[in-house]
Amino acid sequence: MTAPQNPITRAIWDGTLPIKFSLDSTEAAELGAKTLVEPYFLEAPRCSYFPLLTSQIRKYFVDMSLNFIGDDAEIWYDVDGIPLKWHYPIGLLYDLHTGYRPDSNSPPPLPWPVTVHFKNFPIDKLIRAQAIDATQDFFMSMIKEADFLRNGSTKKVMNLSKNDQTQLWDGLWSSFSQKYRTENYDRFWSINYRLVTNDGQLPKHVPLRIYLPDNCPVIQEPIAPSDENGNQLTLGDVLHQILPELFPSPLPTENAFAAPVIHGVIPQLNIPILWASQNLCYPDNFLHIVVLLDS
Amino acid sequence: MSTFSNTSASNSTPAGNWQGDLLVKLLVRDRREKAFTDFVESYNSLVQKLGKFVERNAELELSEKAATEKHSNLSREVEILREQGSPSNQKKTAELEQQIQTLKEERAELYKTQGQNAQRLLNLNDVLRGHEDTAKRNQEEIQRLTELNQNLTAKVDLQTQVIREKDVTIQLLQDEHATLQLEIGKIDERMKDLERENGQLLQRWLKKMNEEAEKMNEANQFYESALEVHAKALEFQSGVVIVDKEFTPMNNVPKSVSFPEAGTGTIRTRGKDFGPVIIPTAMIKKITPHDGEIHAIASSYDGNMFATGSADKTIKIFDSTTGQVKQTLSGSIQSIMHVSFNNTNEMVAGASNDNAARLWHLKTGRIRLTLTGHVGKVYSARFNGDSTKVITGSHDRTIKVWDLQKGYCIRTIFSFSSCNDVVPLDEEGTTLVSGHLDNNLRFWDVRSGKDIKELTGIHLGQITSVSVSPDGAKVLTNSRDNMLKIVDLRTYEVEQTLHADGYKTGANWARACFSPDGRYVAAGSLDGTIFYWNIQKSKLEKMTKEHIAPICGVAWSPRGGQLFSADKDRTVCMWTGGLR
Repeated sequence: MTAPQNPITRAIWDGTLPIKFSLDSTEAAELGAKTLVEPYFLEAPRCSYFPLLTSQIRKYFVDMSLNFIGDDAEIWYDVDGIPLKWHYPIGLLYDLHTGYRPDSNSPPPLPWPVTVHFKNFPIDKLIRAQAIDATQDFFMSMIKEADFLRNGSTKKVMNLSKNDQTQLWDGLWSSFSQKYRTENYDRFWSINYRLVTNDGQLPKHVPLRIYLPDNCPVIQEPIAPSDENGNQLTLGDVLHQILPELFPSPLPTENAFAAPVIHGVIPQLNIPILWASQNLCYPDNFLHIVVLLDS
Repeated sequence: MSTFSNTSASNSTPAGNWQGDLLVKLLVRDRREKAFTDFVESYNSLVQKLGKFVERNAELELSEKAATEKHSNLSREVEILREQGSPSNQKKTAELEQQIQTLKEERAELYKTQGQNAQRLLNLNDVLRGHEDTAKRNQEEIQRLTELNQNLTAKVDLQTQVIREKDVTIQLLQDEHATLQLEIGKIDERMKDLERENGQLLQRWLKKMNEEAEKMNEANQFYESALEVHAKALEFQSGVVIVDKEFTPMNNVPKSVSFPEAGTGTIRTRGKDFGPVIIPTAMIKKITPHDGEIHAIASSYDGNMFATGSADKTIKIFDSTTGQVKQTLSGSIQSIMHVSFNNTNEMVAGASNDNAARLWHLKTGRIRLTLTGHVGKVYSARFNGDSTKVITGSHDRTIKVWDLQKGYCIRTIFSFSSCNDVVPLDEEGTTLVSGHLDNNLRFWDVRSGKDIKELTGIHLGQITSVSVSPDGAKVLTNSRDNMLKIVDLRTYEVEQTLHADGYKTGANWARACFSPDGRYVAAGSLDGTIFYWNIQKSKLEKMTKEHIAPICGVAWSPRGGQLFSADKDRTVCMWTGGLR
């Protein structure tokens, strides 16, 4: 099946972020860097994950005469002292950690300054096993979870052929270079389309997650796409339902406390949640919504 | 796909203009976020180039290092070559060195051989010197020997001369010898003649002696036959018939004269007169004088008295004609084992079980002397011929000789075995004969205290009594093997053995005795019978029974016709063979 040529999905897929990877200064000396090691600039897709970048970053730093002999799993990233959870997509992490409201007039914090650490993996804050295999496993488990939420079973995902499953991951994984982007998009969306549209069936629940700032626990609640009456729920309805204090009303105009950010944009609250789930979701089939408070 | 486009189509209302709005927002976002794309791209390409340069640099460094190494190796090789020259040169040098080595070795070898040869030369020189020395010495030796040889030859010449002279002397001597030989021959002849004459004379003399001896024998025979006749006459008178019908005069060997001891043919006798001897067969008296068993009975040398020794510790002296008790001698502490008179019949010796022998004086009836010293029972006590000594034999295995004048023991002879009876063989008592518990008869010399002879094996039981024959040539031994033996004192051989059925020795101290003429032997038996043997015929002659208890001793009176016997049952019998 060919992928849908939806400009929105395309735009989401193509979204990138420039990131500036600086080596932690204390570690630089320890690891034998004689001169200052310049930071590394990389344009990373919003839909990708940090572990997929690790090998390239590592190669750069080792080339710059850094004596690091170890597992890629030792390498970790942090922003402003907070270790980055490697199982979140990069775009989500950016939105969450910078807390930048796209509708504000201030300049965005770009390139995003991330500190690379080669030692002292913080076991208490991060889960280990950052290798690509773990990332793949996690990605696939998220897709299964989404499928479960939609259908009450993971039959759909499991019934995908091995080839199709590999296609999903490969599509995401090899989305680095520009020239393959289009191919990968096709690769990924040809399979994913079936999953997200659920073969025309209405999903039982909508797979979404809501992130609040300041290390609040992630909110994941089962939301049915339509209410008792059969009306389709909007984004506002859902937010109002889940966070009534922040979103006193489902209507878009009267919410002044907080705003949802998806993929770095603030969508209108009257978007039907089902459509959002199908088109605005991340590659892992989840709708990750970051809620930023009005300052 | 159719669903997708449917959804997009249905949302064209202002309220649903969110799609367009969303798109616009996304574009804005992209513009914002993709501002750095070119920049990052250029950056990355620079980084890549840099990486390549770094690699290249590393490679160049490696190659440089390799090059420097090679350079240093080459320079080292050059050095080496400069030092050692090319390989070919090296080979030549090696070869030359090897040659040098071999030559050096050869030289060393040659030096060694040279050394060895020098050594050998020295050795040979030494050997040569040694040989020269020996040669010299031999030379000297030869010289010495030649001289010696010459000396010897000279001596030999001298000796030959001497020999020649000697030969001459020999010749002379031989001549003399010849003459002397002739003389000797003559003298021999004369001697032979003289010897012949001597022999003849001797024979005549011998013949004369034999004639004389025969005459003596005839005289003796005549005398004996006279006695016989007298005895026969007496017997006949008493009415008892004991006749020696087969009396032959030549039986008594010691009485005959034999060559060369041609003497009077007399035999040593006790020098006492004795009456005609016939076997006493008639009991004239039976007395029971003692309170205890009678152990010994003896007759005096004159035949007037006899004495008995008893277990009641007394000795009683009897008159031999009447049988009355003349005296009782006491003083012994234990029973009397043996009594004997001295030759003067004045004293009586009593051997006692209290380890002492006592001498009583008959006139006084008191003890004259007590001989203590034995440590065992004294079984026998006798006087010697001249009453100067007493000989005691005891069960302490000693025989003691006591001097009566000094009053103490002068000689103790260890006799190996308990002595049952001891008898002096000669007048002074220098030789003794003793009979012992170990069945042996022993002869002793008092002066030396040593034994002269020991006769073993003559008896199978202990010897109970020893008596000497009146002629002193024989010894009679009585033994518990129920046999009596007569031993010749000169040859120490058993002449005769006397035994009889029914004869059993009555006690360990039973006494047998000779008749005063030495023709008969009397002994008492266990059942009370008295046996008489004729020695000349060596057969049992008579048995008389009166006693009922074992007889402890018999004593033949020197008067010839009387016999005294005593038994265990305290009975004494007096026998006679002559006229009442």
